[in-house]
Amino acid sequence: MSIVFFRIDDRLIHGQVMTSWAKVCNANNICIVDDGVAKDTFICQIMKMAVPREMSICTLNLVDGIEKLKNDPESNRTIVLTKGPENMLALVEAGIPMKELNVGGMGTKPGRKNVLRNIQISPEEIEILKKIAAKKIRVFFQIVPDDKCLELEKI
Amino acid sequence: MIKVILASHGGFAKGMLEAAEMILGPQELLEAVGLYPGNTSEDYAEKLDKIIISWGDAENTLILADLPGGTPANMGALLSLKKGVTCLAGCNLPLVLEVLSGRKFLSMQELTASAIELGRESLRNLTEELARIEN
Repeated sequence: MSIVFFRIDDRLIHGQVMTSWAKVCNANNICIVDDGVAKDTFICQIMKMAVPREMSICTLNLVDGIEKLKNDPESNRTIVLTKGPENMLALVEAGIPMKELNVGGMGTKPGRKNVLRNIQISPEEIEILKKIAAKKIRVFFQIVPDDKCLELEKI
Repeated sequence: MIKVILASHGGFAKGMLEAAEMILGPQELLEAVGLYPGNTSEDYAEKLDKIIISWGDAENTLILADLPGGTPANMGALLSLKKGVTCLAGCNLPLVLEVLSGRKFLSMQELTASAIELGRESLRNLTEELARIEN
């Protein structure tokens, strides 16, 4: 095993939300792929503090993230986390194997409208998710494992 | 005097502020900031930062956040790195009351130490305590 879960959440690692997904997929590593986060040493420190204790974490820009995930050790059970759909599409296009993509948290921004409690999305972002889904990847909206789940084709 | 921001998911911070004022009377230099569905981390950090800037006294500003590892606490911690405020997480009402009662007299270090101690001690199983008294 290597990558066990792909998730979009612009709040990144936060409390019980991440802990609950890590439990469900028995993950031991989190890899955040985001150019802005990778160069913000303050946010990197906060993410290290927020990660569940038994898990390791890396924060990488897109280029380094692709490289790292291509060579992710078999002993890792990694959750890949991005702030938005753009980097997920880039990972897929770079050949990172993905079967499912969870959209779990996107806040309010101009042009975005509400689809689920914590999830707002713009038509452009939906198009990106559709491109990902076109590669036979299941795209679903779900905030926490116990919550209801909404498939991309239903919105 | 130590300035205090209560930071929480949803209306918990506003509720604690209301409860604290019910017990201690009206408070100055006390704000409550809730994180609501749809808020981004950046929006939330900006709300906290605006208050910190308006008070202009970061080293005497204390953020009391609800959940360690949650976004309000994470953004409070971020501002402690960036601005030099102090941030505690895992706050309960006894801790908040302790802070508000002592903030005129104590230094930040003394205040946070006593508040954390009181916050921990105040978690009690009253049913068990009563059973012990009855016996």
